[in-house]
Amino acid sequence: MKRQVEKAVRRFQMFTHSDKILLPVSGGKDSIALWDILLKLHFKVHALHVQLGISEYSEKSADITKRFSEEKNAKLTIVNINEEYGFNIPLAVEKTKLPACSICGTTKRYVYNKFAQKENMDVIVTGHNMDDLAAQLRHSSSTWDLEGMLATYPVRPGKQGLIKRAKPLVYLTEKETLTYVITQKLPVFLEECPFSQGAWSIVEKQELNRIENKKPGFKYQYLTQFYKKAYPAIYEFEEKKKIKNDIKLKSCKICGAPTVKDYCWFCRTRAKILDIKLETN
Amino acid sequence: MEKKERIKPLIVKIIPGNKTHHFFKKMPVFKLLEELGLNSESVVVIRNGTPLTKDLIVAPGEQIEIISVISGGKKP
Repeated sequence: MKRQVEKAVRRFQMFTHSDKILLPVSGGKDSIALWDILLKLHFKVHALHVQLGISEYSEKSADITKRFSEEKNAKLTIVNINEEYGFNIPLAVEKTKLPACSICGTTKRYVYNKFAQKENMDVIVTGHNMDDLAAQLRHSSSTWDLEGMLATYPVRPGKQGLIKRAKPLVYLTEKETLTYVITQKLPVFLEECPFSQGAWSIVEKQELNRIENKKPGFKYQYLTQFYKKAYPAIYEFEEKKKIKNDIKLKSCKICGAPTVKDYCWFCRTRAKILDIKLETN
Repeated sequence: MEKKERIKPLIVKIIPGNKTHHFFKKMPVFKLLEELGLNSESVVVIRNGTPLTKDLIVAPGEQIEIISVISGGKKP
C-alpha cells in the first residue's frame, strides 16, 4: 500500500517532503488509510475535517477523526460549516433542491481551498481511490463531459486562487483501502452518508466491479490508459477552447474566490440558502 | 433419551445493514459470496478481525462479517 502511494506521488509529481500538505478527512476508510500512510511516509500532513451537520452521521465521522488524531498524535482541524457559514447540508438541500452530493462536494472543496490558502499550504491531497476515479471517468464519458473526464487526473496544478490538488490513492482500490484499515486496526467510520443512497457513483462502481471480476486488472487499465492516451489531447483541446472563448476568471465580490461570474458558486448558493439578496450590476 | 447436540451455524453478518444469514455447511469464501449474490470485488470478508481471501474455507460455528467496500458521492 505504502509503495503504491509512493509510486503515485513520484509518477505524477504530486508533492515532496518539504511541502505543506492539507488532507481533508471524513473518517471513512480512504481518508483514514491515506492519513496513516502519509504519516508513515513522514510527509508534513495537516488534516481537516469539515462538519456538515448531517445529524448523527456527521458527529460520528468527527469522533473518528479526533480518535485517529489523538492515537497518532496527528495534526487535525475541525471546521463546522454551520458555525462558519450559517447553514448545514440538510438545510441547503431543502432550500436549493440541488442534489446533496453536489452541494456537499462543492462546499467541502470551497472550505478546503479557503483553509489551504489561509494556512499557506502547498497542496490539497484527497482520498479518491481507483474506484472513485474510474467511476467518475465512466460516468463523465457517457455524456462526453470532458471537464469531468479531466477531473479524474491524479494531479491538478494550482491556478489563480486555487491550490494544487492531488489524489495519491489512484493506484489503490476501495477493497484495498478497507483491507488496510482493518489489518492496521485503525479507527474508521463505515456507515454510508444518508444522502448518498442511489448515487450514480455506486451504480458505476458496481458495474466496474462486475467487469473486474471477469477481467482482473480492468479498472487499472481503463484509468491508466486514459491518462496515457486520451488525457493529454483532451486537456489541450479544453485549454484551447478556454482561450478561444476568452474565459477569464475574476474574483468573487464577497469572498475573492475565482469565478466567471460576479459571485462564486459557493456565495451564490449560500445567499440562496440564507435568503440573502446579492447586488447585481 | 440421548440429547442431540445442535450444530452451531456459520453466522454471516453483512455490513452496512447488519443483516444476518445462517449456513450449515463448510465452503470456500467465493462459494459463500456466490450464495449471497455478492461480488468478491465489492466486499471484504472478515473472520476474527482478519480479512479472508476467496479460496479460504469458512465453516459452521464461525462468525463472519462481510463489509461492503463501495462508498458513494465522492466526486473528484
